[in-house]
Amino acid sequence: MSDFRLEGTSKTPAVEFTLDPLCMTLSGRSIPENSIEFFQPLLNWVDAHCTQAGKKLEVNVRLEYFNTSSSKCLMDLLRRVEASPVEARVNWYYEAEDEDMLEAGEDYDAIIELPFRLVAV
Amino acid sequence: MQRDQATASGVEWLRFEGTVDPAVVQVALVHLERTTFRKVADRLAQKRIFRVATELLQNMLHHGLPQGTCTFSVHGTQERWVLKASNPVLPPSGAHLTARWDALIAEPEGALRARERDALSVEVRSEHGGGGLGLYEILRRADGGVFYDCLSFDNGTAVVEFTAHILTPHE
Repeated sequence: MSDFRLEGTSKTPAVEFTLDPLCMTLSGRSIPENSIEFFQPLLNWVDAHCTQAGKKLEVNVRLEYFNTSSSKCLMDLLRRVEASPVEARVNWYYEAEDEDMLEAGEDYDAIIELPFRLVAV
Repeated sequence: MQRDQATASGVEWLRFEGTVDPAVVQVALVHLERTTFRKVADRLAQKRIFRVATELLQNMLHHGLPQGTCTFSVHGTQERWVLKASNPVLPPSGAHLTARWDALIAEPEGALRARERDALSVEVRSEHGGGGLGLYEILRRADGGVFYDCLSFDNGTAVVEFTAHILTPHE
């Protein structure tokens, strides 16, 4: 495996996972009927590439909408990163007026033991 | 699917009655997103309407009886948007949902966020990837303005109905 990219659709986010620099970006919306199926390749990518102890990883979440099924899968993805040996940081972007997305970011921050930066855009 | 019908007390932006499949959900959400973009000034309210609609429609898709007749409507008035969804389920599913609903609405005000966070943090999930988070999401985004009913019928089915009110005027 190498870089992993998917174009966004009306239901699924754009995905850009790169090796150099090590970076994972999800943007757009994530409201598929079956989120597990969509997220599985993303989890596989983390398993395959986030293996080097101390290597820096930037995780960018720029989601406009996500359904509750995606919220569980996003949790799985962040947990997978958390359990890996890389040194990760999460940047959680939200529209300044979207307090729901801010709260969601705060909730992930409270659950996941990774540095979180909440960024209003 | 019927769209944009003026009524005595506002505008019915969307009404659907029939069996639900992913294409129906997509058409409904696209139409609703375009409508709220034009008719709701407040961005957060736009997004809340879309979020609640997504959960209601996907709940119908995942938990409704296959081939069952579902209804979904969105109505805007001078002060609120009202989203209504109903679908048939097997009576045990209706009873389970009613028990969960009763427990949720008995929670003290302000506790839902903590409960949703707890549900998010555990590994339990459904076949479609969720973990019982949908009800929290609907209740929280509608700011508690959600009504639920479950009616049982002699033919061995039950119908569950959610009505969510989101306080924001349509323009």
